[in-house]
Amino acid sequence: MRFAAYDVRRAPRHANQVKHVPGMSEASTPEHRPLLTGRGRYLDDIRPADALHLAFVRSPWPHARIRNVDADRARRAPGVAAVVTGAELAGTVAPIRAEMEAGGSARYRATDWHPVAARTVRYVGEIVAVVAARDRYMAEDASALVDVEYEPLPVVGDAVSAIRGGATQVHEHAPDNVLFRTEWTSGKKDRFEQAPIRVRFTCRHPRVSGMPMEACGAVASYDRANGTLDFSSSTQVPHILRDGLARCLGISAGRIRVAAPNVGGGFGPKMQLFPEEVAAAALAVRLGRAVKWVQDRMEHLQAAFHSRDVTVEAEAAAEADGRIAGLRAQSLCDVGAYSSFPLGCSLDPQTAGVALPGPYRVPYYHYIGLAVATHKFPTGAYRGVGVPLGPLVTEELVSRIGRAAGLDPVEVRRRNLLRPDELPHESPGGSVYDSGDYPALLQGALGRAPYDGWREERRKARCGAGNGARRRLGIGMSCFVEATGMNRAVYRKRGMAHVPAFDSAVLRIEPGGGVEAFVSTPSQGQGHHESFRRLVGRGLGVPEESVRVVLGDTAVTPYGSGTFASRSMVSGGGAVLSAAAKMKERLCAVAAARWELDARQVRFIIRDGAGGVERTDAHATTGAGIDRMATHGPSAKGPAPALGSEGAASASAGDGSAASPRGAAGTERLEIAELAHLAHTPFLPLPAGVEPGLEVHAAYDPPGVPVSCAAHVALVEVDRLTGGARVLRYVVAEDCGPIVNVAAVDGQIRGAVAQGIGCALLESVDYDEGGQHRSATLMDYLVPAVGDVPDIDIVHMETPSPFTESGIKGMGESGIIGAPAAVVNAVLDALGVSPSGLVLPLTPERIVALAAAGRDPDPTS
Amino acid sequence: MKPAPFAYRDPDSVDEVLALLAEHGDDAKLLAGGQSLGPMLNMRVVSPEFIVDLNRVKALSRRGTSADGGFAIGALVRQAELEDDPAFAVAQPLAAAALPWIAHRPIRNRGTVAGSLVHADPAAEWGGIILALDARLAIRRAGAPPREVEAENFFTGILETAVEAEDLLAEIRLPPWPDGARWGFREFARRRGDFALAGVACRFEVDGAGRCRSVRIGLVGVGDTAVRARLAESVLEGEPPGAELFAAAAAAVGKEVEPLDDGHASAAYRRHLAEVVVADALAEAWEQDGRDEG
Repeated sequence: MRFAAYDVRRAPRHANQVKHVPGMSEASTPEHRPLLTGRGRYLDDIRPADALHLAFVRSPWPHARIRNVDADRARRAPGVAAVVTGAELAGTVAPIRAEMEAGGSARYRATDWHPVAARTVRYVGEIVAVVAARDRYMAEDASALVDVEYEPLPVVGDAVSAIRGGATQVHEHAPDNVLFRTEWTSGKKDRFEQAPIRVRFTCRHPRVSGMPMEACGAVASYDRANGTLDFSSSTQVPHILRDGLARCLGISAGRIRVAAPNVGGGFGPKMQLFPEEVAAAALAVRLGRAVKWVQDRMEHLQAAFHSRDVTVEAEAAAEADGRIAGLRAQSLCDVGAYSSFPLGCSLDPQTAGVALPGPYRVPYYHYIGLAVATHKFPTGAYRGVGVPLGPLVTEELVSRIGRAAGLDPVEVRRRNLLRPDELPHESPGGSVYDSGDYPALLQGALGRAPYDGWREERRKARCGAGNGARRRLGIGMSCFVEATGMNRAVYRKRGMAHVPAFDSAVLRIEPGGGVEAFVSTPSQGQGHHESFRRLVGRGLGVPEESVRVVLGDTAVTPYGSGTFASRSMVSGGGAVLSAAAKMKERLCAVAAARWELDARQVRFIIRDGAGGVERTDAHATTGAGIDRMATHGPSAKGPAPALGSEGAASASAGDGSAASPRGAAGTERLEIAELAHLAHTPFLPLPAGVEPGLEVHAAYDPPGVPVSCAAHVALVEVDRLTGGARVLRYVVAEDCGPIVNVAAVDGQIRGAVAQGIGCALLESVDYDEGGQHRSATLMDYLVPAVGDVPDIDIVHMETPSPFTESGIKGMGESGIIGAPAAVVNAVLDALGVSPSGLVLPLTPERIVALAAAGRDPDPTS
Repeated sequence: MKPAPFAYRDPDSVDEVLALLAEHGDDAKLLAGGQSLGPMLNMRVVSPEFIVDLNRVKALSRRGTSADGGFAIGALVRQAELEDDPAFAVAQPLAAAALPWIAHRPIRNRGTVAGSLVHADPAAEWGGIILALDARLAIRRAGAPPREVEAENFFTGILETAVEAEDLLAEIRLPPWPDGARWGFREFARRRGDFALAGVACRFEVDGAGRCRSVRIGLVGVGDTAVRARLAESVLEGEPPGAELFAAAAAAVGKEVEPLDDGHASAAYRRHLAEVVVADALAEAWEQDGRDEG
């Protein structure tokens, strides 16, 4: 099945010709209105009468044996209903454990993470007891009364010391502290070894964490009569969470309902199973009362999944003309004390390895990825996962190759970027690059900057009288690709056992003609409701306002992976389009029954944005029931920015019969509302095999992996004396295929670039050598504020992926993948330095140290 | 992040406040704008038995020109009130220039000058301002006559001041702005609105012979309290202003400060930054050539 307009492989337009469709960018989505006006319903707004509130007693030690837990005083404190220790829970709750089927050279060790520790704690903040009380105040008061006797043990404070011989073991079954190791080689080494240019670079990405405005939390209640658990969570992955709870609690997943209310940002941390969630569920079952846990910001900073903490050491070789001959890299990922569920600790080493070759021709690639246990909080997903390490390292290597070959940064990239005629291309990282024009994206970004103007500003800053020594400008660029909406084949290859890697949609047309869409990829504020409404509206030819989109509730939404890894529009959207195609077949069958025709004698047609079925019995037709323009038809109201973005007219023109106002041979036509009525009335006899009602289900495994691509350029000002760095201007040229909703895409890019600026300059979850967590508040963990993020100029190209029906490529992460590299490279450019190694974030203090090593820049360039 | 239980009192006169402090002393905390106390309560960094809320004490909200031509700031005056007061900008240009650098507007809307001073974060801007202005701090205590403390005697240690458990900092008194005084304010923070890694408020006059007089340099963020850079002041005092002199003064600052190492910056970097901001602030003051303030 194909959606016609996407069959037409239009030549990608040049980036600098792409303009915003007027009126699209400013579209405020209906989903956002209640959220922005305070009418959203978030987790904390769920207030069951009589709920018990949880507070957690957490270990102050990074590594210790628990000698004794005395909860007597706490149990007698006012308002306390229960205090539960690890020992009491151990019999009924299984540990959190992420399995993996590591293939090839990979080797993996799972860990048992007890939601409430009974014998050993392995990070500061690990839970040793849970207090349930009438309110959170009382719960916190009582938690201070729980007396825990610890025997402190030696601490592994970082990944480098973890793999040193004789290091303390974090887990008994991992003598070298290595929880995951993989090694890949592609191509032949000879050229790499003989190439005349050799450059090296080591970069450490800080431990960071997604910082959604709403932290995490859960409300659990257990119905003893029916043995069912009702579980609300501020989660990105209701079905995966349900499966995780079922495993830990030993309850069948069918008896658990997981629902996500409005979720105030996800960014990755909310896709892991929290020990607090398991504890909340277990207490709800045990106490038979509603139990509520709302994570506060201090808990979030200490114990919501951290990410990255990755050091990549890399070496590239190139020919004298600047062409890359090969790349060798090793990543060392500090994954903390346990391998988190569902993705496991292989996430960062695997994704960094995929990303390192970037959009370049890399004939030889050798990669080793290590995930190492330490006494820190476990890592999980954060927007971009290990992928930003790719551009961070590779872009700097490419610039260095350029300098060695006497090429400017743009020219060395042009020589190495894959051209459109080389796609599809199997990257040595394992992805198949499908579509796009990487050189045109770079050109588009540079053109928008404009690059020549920036170079002139940089030159002036270097020559500026008096100030020249102090204020410098630098230009950074970052070219990258991103595999999105990854399918079952990818997760099979990665060995990640707990990700279903498909998504599903149910479409239902009610007797009155209203449409309901149930999709397995929930929204955390990205505007999914709007985007899915648009896909359904255009797909079926119904007004977008008549479509009700329901997300994030396992009681009603079909099974699927959830929202992460830039998959919602690819995978969830693919499921919606697939369901829409099935729905059209059903509508055709109903119409055929009404006219007593064969289904091949009717056809689904959208006219003036309205879908209906028409008789075609005077003609022989093909592709019964499948509309050849449906997804591109104009919506009933307002401008119709086509997915393929050439507008409704040309899309319609792709289908001759639809373009003519009364084109179809049959003059009889049944509108969707009429068909909806017919499908639900007992008076229309239906032939055998045609189901009454109008409800369809589609599960969707993307047939291929769409690979988004982008180029970022940044102009950064550095004060060499204070070390302050400020991003002055920022341009993104991106290609995520056909855009469903420009406002949503631009919002995703801007937010993610802001987070990338944070990773480059500000953010770091710090532990001291002794394993103490030091980023207790948002005065310690610095996220970019409005003054730290410039206006971000965005250029769109729309090259459909040839691998999927819709051609849509994911784009939820791309901003944070490209931004750290662009910003870091700009700072290095401003200072005129090429350090052998770099530790992020580039704090003012680090910049001052770098500046001290700087050479005098060439004032003419 | 929920406070431990506490008793709450909201008296409406200064005398009642003082009586409550006399009775509860160490067990009580005064609440004005709550911008430091609120988070500390939530994080259980402090767990006082009593919160004495000043917000109903109208007498503490007064601000304006005092009898000596200076400017008086009552204990409940919000930072934003001063920021929005054109008379304050005319009367006290240095303090007015520093106000927008204090945290963020929502914090300034509630936060008070007195609260900031008594909390005595070593990086808080007001510490440097009162030192640069020779301000006097009016302190009240039940059963004792009102007393005034000079700015340079106000800070006694990290997060500690001359205001003791039974005391109320009732008013901040800024002396009249000297005619023709020049001023500079600079700070450097990782993000706008954060506590400064180093900051400085400075002023000096230039006498008829073209020499620096009445030099005051108040530093923040580079020690356990706000401090005057006396060595740098002495480098400047009586010398003709200029880039070389300012560089010498900045170098003196580097010698005299004793910054702390913390998660945000090393002591060495803070020392370096102190030199940079002092040089910048002095240059800023000198560039006001010809402007007649006050």
